[in-house]
Amino acid sequence: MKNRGRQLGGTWVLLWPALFWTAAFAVPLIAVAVRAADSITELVHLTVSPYYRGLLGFTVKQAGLSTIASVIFGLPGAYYIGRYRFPGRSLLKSIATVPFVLPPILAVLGFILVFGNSGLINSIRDSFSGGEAAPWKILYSLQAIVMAHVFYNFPLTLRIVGDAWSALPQSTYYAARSLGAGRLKTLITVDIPRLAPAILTAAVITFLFCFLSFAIILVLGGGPELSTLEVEIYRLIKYQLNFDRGSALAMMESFIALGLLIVYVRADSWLRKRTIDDALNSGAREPERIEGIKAVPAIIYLVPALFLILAPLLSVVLHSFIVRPTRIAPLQFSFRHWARLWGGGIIGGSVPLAAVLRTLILGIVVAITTTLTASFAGWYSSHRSGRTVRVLEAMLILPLGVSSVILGLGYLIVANRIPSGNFIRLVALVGAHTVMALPFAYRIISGRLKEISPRIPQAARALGAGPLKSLFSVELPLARPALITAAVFSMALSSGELNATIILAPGDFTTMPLAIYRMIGSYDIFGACALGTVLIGISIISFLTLDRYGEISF
Amino acid sequence: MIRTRLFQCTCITLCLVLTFPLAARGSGDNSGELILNVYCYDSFSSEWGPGPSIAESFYEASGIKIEFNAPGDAVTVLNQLILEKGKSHADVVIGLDNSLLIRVLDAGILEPYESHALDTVPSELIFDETYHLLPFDYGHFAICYDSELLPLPPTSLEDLTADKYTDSLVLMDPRTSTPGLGFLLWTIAVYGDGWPEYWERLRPSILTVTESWSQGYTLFTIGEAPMVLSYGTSPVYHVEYEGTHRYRAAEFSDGHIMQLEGMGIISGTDNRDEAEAFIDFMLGEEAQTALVMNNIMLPVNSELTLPQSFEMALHPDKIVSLPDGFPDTDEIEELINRWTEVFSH
Repeated sequence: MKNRGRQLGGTWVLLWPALFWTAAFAVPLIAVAVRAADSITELVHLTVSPYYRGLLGFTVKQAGLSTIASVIFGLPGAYYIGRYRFPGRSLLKSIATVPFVLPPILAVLGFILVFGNSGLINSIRDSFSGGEAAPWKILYSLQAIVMAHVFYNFPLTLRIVGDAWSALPQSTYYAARSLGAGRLKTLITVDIPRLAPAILTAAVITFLFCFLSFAIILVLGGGPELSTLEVEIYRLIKYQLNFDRGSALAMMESFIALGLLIVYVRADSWLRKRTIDDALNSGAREPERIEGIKAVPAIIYLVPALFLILAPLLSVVLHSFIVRPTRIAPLQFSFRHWARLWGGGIIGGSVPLAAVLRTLILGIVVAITTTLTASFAGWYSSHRSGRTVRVLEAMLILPLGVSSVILGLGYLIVANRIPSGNFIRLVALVGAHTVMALPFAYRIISGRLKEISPRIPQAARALGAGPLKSLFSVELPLARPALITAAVFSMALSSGELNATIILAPGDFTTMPLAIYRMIGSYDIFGACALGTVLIGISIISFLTLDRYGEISF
Repeated sequence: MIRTRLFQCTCITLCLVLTFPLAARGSGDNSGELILNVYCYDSFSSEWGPGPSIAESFYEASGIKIEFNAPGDAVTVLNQLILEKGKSHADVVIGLDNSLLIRVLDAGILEPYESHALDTVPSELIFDETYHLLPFDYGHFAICYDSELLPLPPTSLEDLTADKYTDSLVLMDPRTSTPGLGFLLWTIAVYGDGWPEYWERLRPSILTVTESWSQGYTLFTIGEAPMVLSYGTSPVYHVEYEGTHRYRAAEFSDGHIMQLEGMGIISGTDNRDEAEAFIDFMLGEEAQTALVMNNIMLPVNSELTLPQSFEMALHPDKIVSLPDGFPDTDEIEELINRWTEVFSH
């Protein structure tokens, strides 16, 4: 009976996700595969080479360490965001998402301004020691790589787990408490098992991100002895035009990613099965306030966490406003870099202003297409079960496990075949960004949809609603916080994306990351800081607006 | 009510999608006009590069419209041309340098053109005797330094290895960056087979090795390191646009290695005459001035008077080059494998 209710609704909803996936992901990959016919033999050769095994070992090691650190660092934050109300809570959520938007080059810049040999921490130390001591070398090592990855990725845990936490039903919590379980025991025996799927999701996405990380590893690692498979793929594809070996390495990466994803998808459905038996989610738990003694651990966590996110961002902002005429002269406040940005100078007109507008519109369009696509796929998988769903889930998250160098090459090959014309190129760009954001959006939305008791849509259907009506009028509104989180991440990813944009965007379609990249490429680093400040500003405002909209209760 | 909101959302989406192309300034409304397709590296055609002003003055002079396609850096441009060989939209390519010459010739993507405008170019700058790739500007790789952090700069490659320069130098990875490869070749030109030992000695001076020139130069500008691998002309930018003489290029007694940027006509173009006109124009005074001011490189046209700020550019007494010319792809792979070995023990 229950099963029949679930089977209603057509497979046709998958048409839309399939279209995006095929056009923006499968086609470019096939285009590469056609040119790398010998990659299978190369693959065998690679697995026995000690050099590549070493690379693989380091790649896995740094990604593993970074993931553990990001999740551990993010969990307390998720707890505070999910369970408490405190001033600045939504601001914290928004700011924590900003590193996601920043092009890596600016994130690295901010990081070095704070933790570098002549960065903020070392200059404070200098002023105490009188400038005699050698600088405290925090960066240019494995620990620096892990720190930067935490800066980038702990917001994933913060938001994904935080949202799950705030959606935990109150019934089980109060049941446990009234049966005599203490706060801690309730946390460990009731909350954590229910949060496990969300924690797993955040960890897997973080791992894949760090696994394919590139710029951060080269700059902050300090030398080629710490390099990853992705660097090697970049070199083979770009400088050697050795598509066979490059694709073979990329396949090695993707196999590992795929293996991880299969384990993940199975573990995820197993974990969810253990917790879904609960009846209707009869209302989420009331958030608490941080008062009295509870404020101590909160402050112990929140202050360093805020420092880690804010200090690099603020140094970028600060450096757009200061000039230092000579080394001995005091720092001066100045609008010089901003003036260069907006009025004449090397840049005529207001290229940056147009760039802001384009980035915003592109981000919103991508957020909408991604959320819609993920909703369709999520709806399908929450109403079906079995092999089809598992294949669908693995397929949708796979773009996270494919080397961006290979995808970039695919776009380069395909770009020539795309009929010229701005509109078609823009559609291709939206498609590429959507596919990149889809793994996040899908995990977030389908996770939420699966938590909705099957009886709710069944009731809607019994009352005469069609499947589409049930989706749009009942299920999606119930999943609104998840839709918003998905939209925020999609918009953030799109607003910071550079690799696909540079290949697919029409010639004069300069977005913010492109403008930042080009300014740095033409010596104007502080002008880029000014533009980065604008990017940080509009990201915070957009995320705040979106989050606020997500939290209005019906 | 919920449905209304979703309906509104859908309407907004549709509006956005439909108005989206307006955000890109329209082009392609010039039917009937001659259009020349030029492939170049991204920073050439960007708002901050020399491309836009050159295209404009070329249009005024000839009535031919230039359309740039810039999919990334110079290596990406070359890769795209190789991938598109025989059916490329491109008529002209700009920005393939002398380190790519062997690959360009092997790929057979260009047609030779012995331009009469080359008369103004000194013969030592014409790096392709077959005239497939013609030079349009050049520079020297050099170590740039911040004179306020480092009053006494090094004077040779060997000098860079001194103890006082520990953690002072930012280099680029030869696996991912052209200047990075340029520096590796420079050390080979000077030390011959002894280059791996030189890198062993140099290692303590290296603070970090970045992915790209942009990242490395950023570290240098924010004061993280007092020395960076860059170009002999880099100080000119800071004089011209920031009015400071603080950043300088160190002259090395070993000599410097040259980077010559080249352009060429794509094989099988339908617009050979227009392509020739554009190449000639690039060598003329107007375009050369734009290149000097916006690409911050030295002009190949010897009749050009350089602006005052170019006094800060390095004019090295000695030029070194590789005895057997630039290595080909396989040789570079071998060099780079050897180079990574130096770092991994």
